[in-house]
Amino acid sequence: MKKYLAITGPIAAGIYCFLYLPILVIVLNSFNSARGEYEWKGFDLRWYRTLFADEAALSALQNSLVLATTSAAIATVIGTLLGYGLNRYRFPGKRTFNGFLHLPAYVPDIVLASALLLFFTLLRQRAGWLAPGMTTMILAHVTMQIPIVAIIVRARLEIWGDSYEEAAADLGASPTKRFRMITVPLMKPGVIAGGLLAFTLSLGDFVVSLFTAGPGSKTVPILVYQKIGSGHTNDLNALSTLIIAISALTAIIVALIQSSRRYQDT
Amino acid sequence: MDIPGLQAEKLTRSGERRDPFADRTTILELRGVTKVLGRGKDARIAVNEINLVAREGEFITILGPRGCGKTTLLRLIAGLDIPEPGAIFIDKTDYSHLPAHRRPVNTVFKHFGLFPHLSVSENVGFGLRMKRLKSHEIAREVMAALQLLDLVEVAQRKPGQLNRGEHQRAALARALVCEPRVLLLDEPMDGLDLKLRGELLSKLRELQHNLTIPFILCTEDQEEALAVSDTIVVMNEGRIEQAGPASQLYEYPANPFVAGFVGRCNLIEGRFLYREGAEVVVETKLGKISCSLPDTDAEKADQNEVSLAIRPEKVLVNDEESVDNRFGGMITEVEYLGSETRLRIRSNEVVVRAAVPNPRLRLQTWKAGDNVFFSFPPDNLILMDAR
Repeated sequence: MKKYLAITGPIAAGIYCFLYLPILVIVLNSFNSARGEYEWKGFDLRWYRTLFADEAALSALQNSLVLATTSAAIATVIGTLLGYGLNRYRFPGKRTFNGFLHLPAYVPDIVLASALLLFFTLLRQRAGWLAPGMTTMILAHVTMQIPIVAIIVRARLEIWGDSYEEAAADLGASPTKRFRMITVPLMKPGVIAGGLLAFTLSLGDFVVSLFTAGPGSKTVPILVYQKIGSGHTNDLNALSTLIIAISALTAIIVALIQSSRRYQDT
Repeated sequence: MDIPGLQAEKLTRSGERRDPFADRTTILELRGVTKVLGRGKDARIAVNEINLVAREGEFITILGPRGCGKTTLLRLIAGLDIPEPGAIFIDKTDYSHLPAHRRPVNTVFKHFGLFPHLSVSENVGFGLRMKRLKSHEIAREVMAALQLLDLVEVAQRKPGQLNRGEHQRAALARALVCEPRVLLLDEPMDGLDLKLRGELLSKLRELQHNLTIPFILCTEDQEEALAVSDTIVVMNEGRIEQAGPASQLYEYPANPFVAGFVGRCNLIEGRFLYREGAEVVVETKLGKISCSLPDTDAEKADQNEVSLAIRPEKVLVNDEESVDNRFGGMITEVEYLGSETRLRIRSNEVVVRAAVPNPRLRLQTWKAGDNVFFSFPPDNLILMDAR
């Protein structure tokens, strides 16, 4: 063990630096009083003040949060039902369906995004439905989040199979009671973890958002992209730091839930 | 000559047992219960036309190797699987097609029995909640069950914080508190160490003594079965090979499978030669072996290919007085076990296992390589169809 640490230690450290150093630079710079340059000139919260005075940034932040919360909520409900159904029921074509569930993870974002754009455009032209805006974005995000939630919930259910439901049946619980008193509480950590992951996925998504956004529904990643083009980056660092904080907090909650003693078995 | 003991002995040997439960009320009855598991090419008959009765206060052990269908049989009784075809009666009522939650049967499951999100006392009270008992009644019953099984101290813990023994006792408490008509135990000793096994076994025996319901335990461990059961049911490949009290299965196994699975046994294959009164002579690799049979076994002796079974402790080694079925051989292995010494004796490509009691104040004198003679007392040999 010790022998390998000499080699694996530096490699691991290198990988972590590669992953986290750029993020650290952004976070530090958001507190830097220097303007437009990467030189430390002292701790300052001015970029946060600028940010909170900036209507466009605040509206983007609000859009991002509304989008992430709404889409994650919808995807959690649908994804949970899907994950449960895939675990518990037999139906023709189940294997194929299970395979396709993983497809969105392999399909490049740009393909999904352009497909959705074409689809929405077609609907708008033919039926007059769905002008680009928050609604189309929510639909698009839900589409990409459902498989994530379903896969996590299904994995959670696969740990024990139906042994607990059978034990409950043996103790006199009817199917509805089994679902309510056993299945739902056992599934809950998976549902929460899936929902939070869907939330962070939506928060950080750029490609799909850009393709399906309307005039009034600019999100933080879109705003950042546009502003970088125009050269201002200081208050963007502050905005990015906020997004990173929200995502990190969500990830920590997921990790805590998944390692919770409460749901572990002997 | 009318000696009652002898008569009883012969009856037992012919399979008609003296049944201590004959006058007890039948609680559970299985008739022709069959279950096919899997579909299409993978389909196999897991349980094949099983008939079984369990009576008041009877402790039944279903004994069999892995995959013999014993767990499926318990699942059928519990209602987790539905027999097709076959019928299951509990207290004379047909429960064959009722699901598990509507049967007065509770199970102690092999694994993962306790709900991980509920505390021990919530787990134990689960069945009572399902019966819609009032909460103070539930609390009282749960407390009584926890006391009975020595779980009061861990009542508020989650299953993840219990040790193996507490886990199993909690599962037992949870099943018993529902006052089932039949209690099923699916390999409850699995994964317990020897000491905990012993404790749980004596607890089970004690509980069962105080309740009038039948217990049905399934296990692969024959010592467990011999220790607690009134009736042992030996299963193999979905069928019952033999059912009866431990002593009957041990002394008069019905076939080579039972002989080999319950206790240790020498099986010597041979060909039936002739019969003279109660005396049957069989040609084997060792030579001719004669074996005395009660007349009720007549039909068995007509088989051409037969097996002779004899328990290792019934083989006599270097016994000067024995004259029948005497053969010479060489000791190949000696195992000194304190109360007895186990020998393996090779003779004409046949290996015979013998267990010789160690006499008082004398060190064992057997060693590998010794030439000895051994003999099979004719009335200790069991003749059965070869399979």
